[in-house]
Amino acid sequence: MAVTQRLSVETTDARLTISARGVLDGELAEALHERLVRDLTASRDLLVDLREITDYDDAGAKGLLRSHELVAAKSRRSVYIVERPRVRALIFKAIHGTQDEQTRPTSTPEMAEAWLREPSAPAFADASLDRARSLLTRFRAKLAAREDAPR
Amino acid sequence: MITRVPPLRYRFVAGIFNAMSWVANGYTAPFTSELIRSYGVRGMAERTTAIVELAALVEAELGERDGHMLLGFASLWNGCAVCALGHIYAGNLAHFRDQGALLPLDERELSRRMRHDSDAELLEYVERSLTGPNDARLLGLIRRLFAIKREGKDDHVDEQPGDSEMLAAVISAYDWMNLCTIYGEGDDPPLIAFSSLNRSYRLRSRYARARAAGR
Repeated sequence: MAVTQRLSVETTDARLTISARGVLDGELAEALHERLVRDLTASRDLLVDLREITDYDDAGAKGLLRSHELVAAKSRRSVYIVERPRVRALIFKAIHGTQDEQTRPTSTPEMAEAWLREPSAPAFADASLDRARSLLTRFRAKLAAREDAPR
Repeated sequence: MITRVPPLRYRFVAGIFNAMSWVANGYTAPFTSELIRSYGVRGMAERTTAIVELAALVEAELGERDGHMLLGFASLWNGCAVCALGHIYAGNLAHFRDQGALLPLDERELSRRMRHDSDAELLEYVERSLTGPNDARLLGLIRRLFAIKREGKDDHVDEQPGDSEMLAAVISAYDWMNLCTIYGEGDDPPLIAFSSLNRSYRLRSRYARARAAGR
């Protein structure tokens, strides 16, 4: 399938939406990068829909990281939609590799919209660490309360 | 691939921590140097302490087998093979030791499926594999974990008080942990049981022979 058929792009004043399908190879990653260079402006958030990406190769993985470096450099809030653990892991690598605090992988368009709408939300990993600590305390308290409850 | 080898100084410090982990826990984690590179020694220690405490609580709540399984599935949806398969392998070893039989949920098959399957296809495999009389609670928790991770939805129906808190804590902890572990695991991560059972060479050998006979 030609790369033009594997990549679709929608732009509005506030949003750049890119959808990709098939195997993420070097050619597709290059096309994605070109669209980001051309269309990701200072006023646009980015939504990358990778739900129809079935796999990736080495060139595709490197290309996606290169593209995400561009996104991170623009300090734009962004989100990926994925539904395969292997592709989700690739997004995790891109986030960690760029230390980009303004992006995250999600599984549905609704979750993606929620992330993009919430500009005050803290960074993915830091938020999760703080949350994990407080949730651990709550979990411990709940187990203790259950032990203390009359049987 | 885009996995990075941390500098020598981080690997050296990680080697010390890994030696301590081997003595205390029976295993070493291949991503320790990446945790140190990302968070520093103190940050790494804080995070691993929180994870160890959470794992102990989950194991006390669900038992050794199901505790490890739940931790494994929190990582599996994130795509972290070394954490997911390490905990699921530990759960399988505990089941094999206690029951003398194999759980159909095979970590090697899961490893293969993690490379190809969608979230929904993986859940279907898990549902087909966990049909035993003692699997219902674990399967219920995995389905709920899947709904929270996949759709951001939770029915908040606890089979046991504290289930909501346990699931939220597990998901949150492995979301931040996996950012590092995925980055440090490489293309072909080793299969390490994240349990003291990793030390039991005889158990692992018997388990491997039983799996090989069934494959």
